[in-house]
Parts: sequence; structure tokens; C-alpha cells
Amino acid sequence: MNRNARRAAAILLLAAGAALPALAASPAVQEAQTLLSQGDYKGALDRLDRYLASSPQDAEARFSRGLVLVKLNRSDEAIKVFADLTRDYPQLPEPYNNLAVLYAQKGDYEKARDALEAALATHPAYATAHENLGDIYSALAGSAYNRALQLDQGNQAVRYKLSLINQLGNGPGGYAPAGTTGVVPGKPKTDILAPAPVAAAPAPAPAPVPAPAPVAAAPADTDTAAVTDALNAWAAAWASKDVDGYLASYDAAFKPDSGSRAQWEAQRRERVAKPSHISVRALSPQVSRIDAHHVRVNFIQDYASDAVNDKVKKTVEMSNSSGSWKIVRESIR
Amino acid sequence: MLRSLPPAGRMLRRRGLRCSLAALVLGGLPLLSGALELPAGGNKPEDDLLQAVGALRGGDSATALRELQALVQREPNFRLAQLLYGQVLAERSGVPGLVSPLADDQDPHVRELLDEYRARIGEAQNGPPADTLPSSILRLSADHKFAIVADLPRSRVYVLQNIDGHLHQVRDYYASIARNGYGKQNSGDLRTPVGIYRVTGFTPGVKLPPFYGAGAYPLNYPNAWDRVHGRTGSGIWLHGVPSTTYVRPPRASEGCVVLANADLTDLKSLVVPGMTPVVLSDKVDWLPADTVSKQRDELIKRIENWRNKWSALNTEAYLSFYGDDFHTDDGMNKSQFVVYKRHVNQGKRHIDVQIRDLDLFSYPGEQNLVLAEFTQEYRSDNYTTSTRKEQYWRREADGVWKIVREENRAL
Repeated sequence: MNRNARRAAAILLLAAGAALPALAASPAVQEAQTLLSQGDYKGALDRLDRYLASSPQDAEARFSRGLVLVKLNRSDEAIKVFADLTRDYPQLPEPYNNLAVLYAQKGDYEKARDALEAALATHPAYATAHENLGDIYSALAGSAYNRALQLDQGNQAVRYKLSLINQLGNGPGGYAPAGTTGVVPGKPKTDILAPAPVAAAPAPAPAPVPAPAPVAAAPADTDTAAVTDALNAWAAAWASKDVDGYLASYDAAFKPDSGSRAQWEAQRRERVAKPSHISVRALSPQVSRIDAHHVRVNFIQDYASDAVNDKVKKTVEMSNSSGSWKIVRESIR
Repeated sequence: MLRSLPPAGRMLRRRGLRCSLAALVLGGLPLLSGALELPAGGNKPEDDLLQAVGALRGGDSATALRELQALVQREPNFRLAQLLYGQVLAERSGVPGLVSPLADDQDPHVRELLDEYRARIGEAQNGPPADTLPSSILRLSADHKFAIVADLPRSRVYVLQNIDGHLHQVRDYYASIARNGYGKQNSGDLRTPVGIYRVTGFTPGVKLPPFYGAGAYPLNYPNAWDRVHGRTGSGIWLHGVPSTTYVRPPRASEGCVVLANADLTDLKSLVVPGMTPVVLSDKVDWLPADTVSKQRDELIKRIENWRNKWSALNTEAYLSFYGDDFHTDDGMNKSQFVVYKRHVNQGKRHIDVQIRDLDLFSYPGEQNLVLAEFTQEYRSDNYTTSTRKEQYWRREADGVWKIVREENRAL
């Protein structure tokens, strides 16, 4: 267990748009991107395939097709798409970046590193590639440490989470991170958990996510403050390893995705209590009403323990049937 | 200067990344001078490691990363290189909160790697100066093209080449010795012997368990001097490592001297089984190559004198070369030996003793003890024999060198 604490965790950023200077995406690509953003991956793929049949060299369309394949979990095909793009358009950094993300997901950090270094060779200030390279370095560091200490290679468990940027077309100036100038090679930024890249969602995107802020009251709905208070209490109980308080945030009607409630509780008791230090924050909650007694909250769960840094987009449904807001469903988007 | 990993971050606060890469390079270790002399054009993994360390010391972590990356690709089982590589990666990732194994300095694996690091850096900084030779080899006969000297406390093995009677250091290897160090006395004491041995053979790796890697050169421990001291144990070898590792920690074996497989294989062209001397030393003094050894000249004269007295059948003078506590290898004490030799020599009309291929070693771990090894051609009117003789000479309190032990072996 001690050694597991050496695991590095990282969030890799998949570039969602290739910046093709002065080249507007074709209507077909725009349509596909709309379908993609609506979660209609098959529709998007179909649209792109039809278009590429007549315009096989359209880089933007090919790039979008790669993204759609990622969404469809067809990563080997996606790798081929991005690899072909790096061959045909070596000056574009995004295909390299995305290739790196996909390699990293397969655990091939060396190839991921090489791809990112290729992206940075032509675009030294490409912030996403820097962030990703930092993550790859940390993963490689974990692997090197394991080898140094003769630990089981299968045990290294570096966790990756793929995050998407839905903002397309960075434009020629798009390789510098927002609000930052002078990012130079070898000086990767340290704040890899800046929220902006996570703002995207396959579902209709919520309002742009501001800087990370603890859960704050949302407007309009009078219940919103009570809902976010309950959510904050849930996160705080988890972070302080107050297992009973944590479980008390769940309604009697809560059903886990799989297994029985009792199994789930036992597992949560163990996992919540286990890490020696964790922090949990519920960032940018978006509360929407389902009915008189139910709300849905979309938020970013920022979890960090000794072993793992992880950000996921989470949705919980809460009910106040019991008199206070309790979680009845929980899922990771 | 390499920066420490960023001090911010939750995990850093908790676990404390006290040992950053800088600490690995500097912590408790003598500073590498800026002008680290690296073996020119060296392609040994250790050279690459030292290059990377030099780059780090120069603040060039990008170069260090590149070199370490190539190194671990070439030698993925070089765990010390992996550790350094991990440190540089963690530092350059910019990702806060990565916990370095160095933070846990109680971890035995970490300590072993730091020991290895110190041994290698120590060699780079304080290894033998150019044009010096180990003082222990007083004379090496022309029939030895090479000799091996191990500096046991410093985890180093040197190979010396004998060119026209002049020695040159031609190799040096990192080496692992026994868990409990050196100065073996008893079987199972997990120590490496200190003494002068010879390689008795070679067993290729394919005929050994994988544990021994590329192969093994057995040594003739316990030798005559060890037996004088009642030292026990056996199976002291120079051998390689399993393919799962590049080297073993500085103190890891049960008594053997363990080299990287590449180094053991490298020895193949240098070592002559049955011949090559191996000096296992508790301390190696390096003297300028042209140092004239007074001891050597004294001993050469003394041995020649001994030979003359014997050849002249001047038995009493011959016997005066033997110390009071002299023993033969077959168990005679001094007075029994005197009686025996008087009897033998009385029966001879003439004898002739010639010696050749003389080696002289100052014996490690002993004060005033010299091992003379030579081929002895003995001819008398009724007996002829050629043997290889090991003769242990000790300087007595009055300053006179006397023979304290003799052993003959068949050629």
C-alpha cells in the first residue's frame, strides 16, 4: 500500500480541434461537430464518412472523424486516423497530441511522449501538449520508480482520465494557454488541473466553467442553495473520511449502478476510509429541476488522494422526500 | 542547479518530498566537482549515468533526461538509472505531488540504490589517479597477461594488463560483494574473503542456474594462508547476475564478487582459467606507476639467496630462511621440517633448483606479508620435479624476511 502511494495520476487532454489557419470547416464537418456535441456519435461518423468519400484529404473532417472514433471507443481506428494526419500534415500539432493521448490510454507512454515531443517541435508553446507531456512524464516517472524498486509492473496503476475540449478551432494563436504568455519548452505549467479543458461535455455543454470555486449557491431556484449545501456536506464528509456522514448523504432510495446496496455500502466504507489523506471538491455545480422533489446536479468532482488525482464529471440526482436533500442516483458522465 | 520538485501541493505537504533529485545528487555525498572527468568515448552504462549526473550538476536537466532515457532503453534493468530517470522525469513533468521513492529512506531498496550511487560516484570522484598502480602487485611475471584487483569496500574491480613487465589498468567494473562485507573467516558468515587467489576455471552461464547470469569464475578460496588461519567455506566465485537485473546492490552476495553480465563477459578475453591472479583487497593503495618497490627488490634478493643455499646443499643456511612458526602444507612444523630436510639433503650428491615466472604480492589484510609464487624446477641426482610454489614470506621483528608457509602444486 505504501508503494501504491507513489502512483502518479494525470488527466490527459485531447485536443478537439485542429487549427487550420484561414480554413473554415466545411458545412459537413460543422454538421458532424454539432451531432458530436449532441452525443450522436454514429450520426456524426456517418456524416463524416459520407463527406470524406468525396473529399478524402480534408484534414478537419479527418480530425473530427478521429474524435468521433474516440467517442465510440474505437481507439485503434482513431490512432490510425491521427497517425495518418501526422504523416500528411506534420506541421499540425493537434493530431500528435491526440495520438499521444490514445497511446497513453493504451499504456504506451514512450510513444505518447514521442508524439507530444513531435507536436512541441513545431509548436513549442502548445499548452495542451505541454500539459499532456507533463502528465506523461509523471507516468513515466512512476514507471521508472517501479522499475528502480523492482516493483511489479502490473501494479503501477497510473490512472488516466480522458478529457475533451469541445472548443473547436483554436486558431493560429491558439497554442498559447489562455492568460499565459511565454510558455517555453521544458517549463511545463504546473497546474494541470485547471478547469477550462474539462469544461466540455458530450451532452449539451453547460455554461462555461469559471475558475475552480467551491460550490456556491446558484441563482433562481430557492432550493439550489440547499442542494449545493447538501452536496458540499457530502464532499466534506468524504474528504474527512467521515464514513457515516458520507453514507448519510444518500437517500434510502439510493440504488448503486451495480450490486446491492449493502455491497455498495461495504465497498464505500472501505474505500472512503482507506486513503490517508484525500480532498474532494464539487466544482461548478449546475442544478436543474426534475420534478417537485427531485433535482439533477452536474458538477466536476475533483478528487485527490496520496495516490490519485482525478477529475470526473459527475451527475447526481437528489431528492428531498425525506425532508433534506439526499442522493438517489450517482453517475459519472 | 536542479530545482527541488515544487513545494506546493497536498501530497508534498503530507509526505514531504525532502529528497528531491538534488538531494539524490548531493545528499550526504561529496560534491561532484564541476569538471567531472569522464572516460572519453566510454560507452559503458555507468559512463552514461555519470554523464547524466554531470549534466544535472550543470543544471542541464534536458540533456540529463535525454541521456537517461537512452540509457534505460538500453539497460532497462539498471535500477539506479531508472531511479535517476524517474527523478528527472518527475522534476520536469511540473506535476506537483509526485512522491519520490527517495522520500522513504527506510525502504531497503532505496538504501541499496543510494549505496550503489555512492559507490559509483565515489569511483568517479576518488578512483585511482592516472598512471598509478595498486601497490599490492610487487611483481607480475610475463606469463600473466592480466591480473585482477578488487577494492572490496569500494565495490570496484580493476583489471591490470601486463605489457613487457609493465602494468596498465585497462578495466574497472562496479562489483557487488557479500552482505556482511569482507574478511571471511567461516562458512556462512556472509563475507567476501580478503586474500590472493587465482581463477581456477570458467563455467558458462548456460550450465548454471540463471542466478549466476553470464557465468562464473571460481576462485581457490580457501588458499594456503586461509588454511593457516583455519578459515572455512567454499564456492567463492566471480559471477554475473540474473537477467532480471543489471547489477546487484553493493552488499548482496553470500561471499562472491558479482559483476554485471556484460562485465563478466568482458573478462572472458582477459582471464586465463587456472592462472589469472585475483587480489581481493580490504584496501587498495595506488602508487605512481614508476614507484620503485624496495620491498620487491629485497624479496627478489632473499628468494635468490634461498635458492642458492638450497642448490648448494647448504642445508643449515637453507633452513635458516624458515620462520619458527613455519608449517608445510602437509602438516610438518618447523622442527619436523628441519629433521626431514636434513635427512633428504644428506642423501643427495648434488641438486639444482631453478625458479622462473616469479610473482610477488603484498598480501592484503596483513602487515609485512608477501606471497611469492613461482615455478620451481628441482633436479637432483635421483629426483626431478617441476612445481608451482606458493611461498609466504613475513618480515620478522628484526626486519628479516622469513618463510612462514609453503605449498607446492603440480603443474
